[in-house]
Amino acid sequence: MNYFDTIYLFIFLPVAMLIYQLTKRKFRWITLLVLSCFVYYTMSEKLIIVFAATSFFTYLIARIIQNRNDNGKKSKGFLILGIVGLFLTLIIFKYTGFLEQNLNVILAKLKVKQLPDVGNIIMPMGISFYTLEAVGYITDVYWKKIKAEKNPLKVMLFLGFFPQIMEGPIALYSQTSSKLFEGNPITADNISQGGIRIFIGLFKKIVIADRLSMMVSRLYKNPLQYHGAMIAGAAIVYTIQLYLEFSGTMDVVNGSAKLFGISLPENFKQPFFSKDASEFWRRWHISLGVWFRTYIFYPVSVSKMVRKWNKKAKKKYGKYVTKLGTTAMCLLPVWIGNGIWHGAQWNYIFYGVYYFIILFVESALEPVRKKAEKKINTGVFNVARTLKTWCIIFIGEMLFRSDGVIIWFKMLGRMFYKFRISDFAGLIHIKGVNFILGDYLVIFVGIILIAIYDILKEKNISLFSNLGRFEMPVRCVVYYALILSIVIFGAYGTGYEKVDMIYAGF
Amino acid sequence: MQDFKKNNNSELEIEKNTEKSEKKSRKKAVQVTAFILGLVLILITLSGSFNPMNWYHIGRFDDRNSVYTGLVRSKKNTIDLLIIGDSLCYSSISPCQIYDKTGISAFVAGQPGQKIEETYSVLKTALRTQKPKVILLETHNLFLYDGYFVELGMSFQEKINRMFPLFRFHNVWKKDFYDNKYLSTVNRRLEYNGFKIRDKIDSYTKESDYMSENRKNIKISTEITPFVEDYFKNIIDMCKEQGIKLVLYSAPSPKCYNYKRHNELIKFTDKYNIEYYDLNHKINEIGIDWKLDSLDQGDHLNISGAEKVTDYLIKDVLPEFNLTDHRGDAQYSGWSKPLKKYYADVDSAYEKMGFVRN
Repeated sequence: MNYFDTIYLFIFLPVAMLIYQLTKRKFRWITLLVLSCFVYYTMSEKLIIVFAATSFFTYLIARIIQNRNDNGKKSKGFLILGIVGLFLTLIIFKYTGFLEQNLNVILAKLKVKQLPDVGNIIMPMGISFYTLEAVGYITDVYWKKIKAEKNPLKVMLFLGFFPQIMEGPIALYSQTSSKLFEGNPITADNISQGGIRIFIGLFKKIVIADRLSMMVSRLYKNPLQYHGAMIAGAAIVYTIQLYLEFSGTMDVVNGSAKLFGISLPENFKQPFFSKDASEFWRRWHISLGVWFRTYIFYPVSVSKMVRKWNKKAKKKYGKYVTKLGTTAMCLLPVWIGNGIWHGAQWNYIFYGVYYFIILFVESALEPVRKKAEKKINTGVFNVARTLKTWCIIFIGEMLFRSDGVIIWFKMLGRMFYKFRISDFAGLIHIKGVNFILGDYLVIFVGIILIAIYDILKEKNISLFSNLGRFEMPVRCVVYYALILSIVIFGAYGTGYEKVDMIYAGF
Repeated sequence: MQDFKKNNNSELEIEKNTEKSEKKSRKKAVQVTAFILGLVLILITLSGSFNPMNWYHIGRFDDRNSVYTGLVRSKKNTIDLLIIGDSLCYSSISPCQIYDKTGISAFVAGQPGQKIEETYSVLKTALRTQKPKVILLETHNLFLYDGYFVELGMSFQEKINRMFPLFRFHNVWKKDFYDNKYLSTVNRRLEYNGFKIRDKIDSYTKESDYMSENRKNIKISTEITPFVEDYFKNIIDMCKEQGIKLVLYSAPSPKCYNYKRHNELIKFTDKYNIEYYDLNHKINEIGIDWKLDSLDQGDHLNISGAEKVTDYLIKDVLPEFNLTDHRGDAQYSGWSKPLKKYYADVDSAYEKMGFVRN
């Protein structure tokens, strides 16, 4: 079962809400836990045992750290044990195959006997997401930001709350725990807000993203047959698909949680308004960025190594070089980590390195940018910066999607070969994509509508919240239009391919 | 005294507030109910507009949906033999050939990758306007199963599709933007009563004795799951209610069949007392030559294989059913209309495949 199945939307959610509402307040968190375990079982079956074991391990480590904190004893060893244990589980399930493949390449070169094939290891659903949450949780306990939870089942609920188990967001314990355990009743406002959010997510994914997915799969099947604008088009189309799919999923996730009165952290904040890559990563997959900033960037920035560098380099090389050195030392583990987290493939690791280089260069050029800002008209300058950022994003996502780093380099090279704007028209004649004019119109209109929606959000105008001012009949018309647009224009059923959720694979 | 008054007043206030919030909740509940009922009404109304019974050109319906369209638009109560299943059925039996040789009115209501939930939906649609004497169910869809929750989801989706055809036919508007050239092309498979002329040879060259118990490395599932069995029981009940004879058959396919599946089907059909014809055990009698009759390395038959299977059924299976010969019956004149075009297309197919039919 996934968040876009009719059975999840029309059977599971209503039944879950009914059971939750009928449960006594103090036991509602248990209802949420049972529902989450049920959803987890439908997705991963027996691998729920791995998730349960991870939850218990997390609970145990946190309790030990808390006890030692309370008694004034050192607990760093247990923190390290916890982090190693959690990441080791992740490595076993997610990276064994990748490590084995690459080790075998080295062993082959050394003419040593290769390791046996480990076969296909199935990952427990959401392992990449809940592992980061678990590490964050025990670290927060160590840092005395929070107290360790006394009930292991509550830890399990925090890690496995059903709307966020598949694709996040990666929440901090302090962000969601109180609402998860409070057992507040479901209200009409929650249903209204949650429902609207779900339908917006369905519109983004089912109407637009799933259509784009059919174009993307054909474009990237043999991308080197294209050149010029078609390659650029492949990059742009995939980026839009990824944004609509992931942000659409987050809308359904947040909407599902909102039905129960639980607000999850936002993962997107109109990322295409970013003026540089640094801003982009504060607007795209925000919860991942927050995690890396909190648990990698800041600890590294206050580490002995960095403090030593700051002290010595300032005297020797001056402020600018010192700052660059600090930036590099703090950013490198973040971006290598980011790349590796996304998956056991070299193109994901290079994706992390790509953004490390971009962010480092942006940092290095900051004085130049500040000077230019004073001389050039702000409006023009900001537009140029935004367009430059779009290019960075599109090229980065092309790397993310391509079948390897070498293919990406070749695609980049071919992008500038015989580039003609008119060749973008080839995007509506991709071989193997059996779309007709109607499909392209839906894509075009859909993207425009979402763009308008995002522009209004950027100006802090919440389109659907303001609907509350209007009478019920007007609100109904808007809601019906949204629902029917999904039913009629959705890319599901005959003539369309079933599309897996991209980030669920991470 | 003042305290008593104060307490009284605050109690009254609490009562008033509780009453207010109860009224508000009731109002919200009424609004939500009205909203849901309104939505259901709109879905029912639009389902009427998107229903294949309406005036849309048959070219608007994609391959999968064309089966429903074909069934609903067929003349009422004229189909005597309904063949149903996945792509194996519309690649193995030709209704035009059957009508030409025997006068039996047959229709192939198969869809690519059709699962048991969809078989049930197709049957329900068929039985709204048709009363076949025999239903011939190709057995491969009994083994198509992707896990309990996936199938439960599909089953629920099919229920929604039956309740609100808008979900099944929601794409029909797209053809407003299609080429007129396409709209003028009749859906070819429907013209031949659901049969698809497959004009390619891709030989099957692996073990010829693929039904032998010596066959190793069987990687496909060989179990008919309880979920599928439950649906099958519903199909049996539907046929019993309507007095229809249900017969199972397995089309020749080395990729899809083996001895394990055969044994499972024997057990299954014995359990429900259903007639079963495993054509994989009749390869020599049918005259299948896997070098020439395979469309795709032993998965489906091409037109040459389909003609042989249809001939075999005409000689050895259909006589058991005592179905009426409608040749000469004015009510069935439409059944002979496509035959000339059909055989011309078959000839072209053989030409394309590069050999002369027997």
